[in-house]
Amino acid sequence: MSYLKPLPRSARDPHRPVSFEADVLEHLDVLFGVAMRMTRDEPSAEDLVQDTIVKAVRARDQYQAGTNLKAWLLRILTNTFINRHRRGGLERDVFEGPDATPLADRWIGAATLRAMRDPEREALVPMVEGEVRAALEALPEAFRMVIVLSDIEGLAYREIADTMGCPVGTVMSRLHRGRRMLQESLRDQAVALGIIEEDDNELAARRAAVGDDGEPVDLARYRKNRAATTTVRGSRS
Amino acid sequence: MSELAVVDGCTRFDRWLSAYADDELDAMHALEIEEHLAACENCSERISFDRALRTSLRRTKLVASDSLRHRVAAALLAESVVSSLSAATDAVNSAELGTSTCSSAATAKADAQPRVAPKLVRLRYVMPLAVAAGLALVIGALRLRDPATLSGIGTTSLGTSQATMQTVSAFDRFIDELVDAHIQPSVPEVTDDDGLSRLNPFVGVRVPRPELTALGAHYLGARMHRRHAAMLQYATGDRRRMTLYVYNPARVPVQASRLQARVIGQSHVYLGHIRGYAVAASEHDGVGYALASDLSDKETEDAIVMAAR
Repeated sequence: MSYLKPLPRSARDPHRPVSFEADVLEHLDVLFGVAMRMTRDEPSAEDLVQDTIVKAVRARDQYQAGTNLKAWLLRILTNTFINRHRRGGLERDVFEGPDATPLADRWIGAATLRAMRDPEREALVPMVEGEVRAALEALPEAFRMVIVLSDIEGLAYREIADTMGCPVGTVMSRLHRGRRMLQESLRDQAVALGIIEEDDNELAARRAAVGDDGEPVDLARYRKNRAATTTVRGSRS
Repeated sequence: MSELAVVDGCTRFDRWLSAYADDELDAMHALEIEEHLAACENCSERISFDRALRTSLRRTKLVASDSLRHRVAAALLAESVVSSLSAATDAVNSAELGTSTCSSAATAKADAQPRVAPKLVRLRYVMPLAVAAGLALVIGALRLRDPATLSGIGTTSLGTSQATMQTVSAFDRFIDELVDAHIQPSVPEVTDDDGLSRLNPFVGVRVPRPELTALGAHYLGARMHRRHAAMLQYATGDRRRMTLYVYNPARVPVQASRLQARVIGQSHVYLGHIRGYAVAASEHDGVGYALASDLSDKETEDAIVMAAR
């Protein structure tokens, strides 16, 4: 029965002689997943993956055994993508993009966050979950990439830093900001879908806390307002 | 803790929350945050939300298609052929270099001859070649469904561009396979409950046999579908059929994709139409169910609810 035979996977079998090619192929899904988020179409993503793997095999002497192969491959993938599709690269985007502007923190209340969550599945409620892909697509690239690498592909911060060629601190702050952006866009979707109600009191409190320039003026004052409104309607909905 | 201290904590800790949720924060900061979390509902709810978001994001994970696997294996094979060829060229080149320094061309050639042969069979070049060739064969043999890719390096890129033009998640692919299997039903391998239980180790979950007699559908039998799923077949008196996959949702997570998420009673189900067939999916007690059916939308909906409980 053919379904009993798995593909050869050297990492799972320490007795199998390890080959560089086989190790590289272990990471095919990750490479493809990341390539898809960069190119946004399958034929280009597949081209990018193939080029990356061929380059990696040709440059195998530059790979230091024992270091992180996945991060090394992703670095080649990222560089190949940048060289092919854009002059200037990721970094300039970030300096001119949303990283340079302050995160207008619209404080989303605990009750709203709770309503979007399904504690049993430890995931978002299915309706909101359906919107996740679109919300991720809409994120600026630098933030989308860290979220793809961390949340979807499960890389550690160190590996992401190696992949993107930036300090761990930058990874941390981009992840933080990216997740807050996702949170906001999912919240807006949830309101649009009628899963949660746009709470007038909360809106009023938010407006009160935001000055004319759109910046939060006084978090303490804002939270005091919010605390007052939540006690009125009962904090658990 | 006073309200002011809590608020102070929120602003101070906000940027560390994500790292804390990822277990990437050093112990000192983590302890500080935990103290704050105990007092602050808002921040602990943010942590829970970040974790829920991560689970949901992970469900959008994409996997490389079989055609890409073939194509990359073929590229690696071509690459190792090129590198062994260039090894031979290197040897010849060094022999040519030798002629310019040596006084006698004949002796240089005589020197070069024995050097070429051992270099070609050196393990460094032979191993990747063998592995790549082996992989291409194994992958090809396992995926006979896609014979175009077996015919060689030249045709693989063609196969790729025709095969899949749009983004499909693992779940989408899985549902497509289900509809394929429904359209072209295979003969069941097992028809009794004892036989059904023998499929458990392959599927990785306990395979139940849902009763759908309330819908007038009778169980015909089951078989394995590839390595993923047990495929259970049902038919009604008027020869309408239902194909039910029972599978391990840890391998292929159920997600909202082309199917719409709905809540029916206590169950989360996903409903839709693929190529004219009503399709439904759900998950219960760690077992995944996906159904393709000739029946109406309402009956399909009822069937998935009956199956997944």
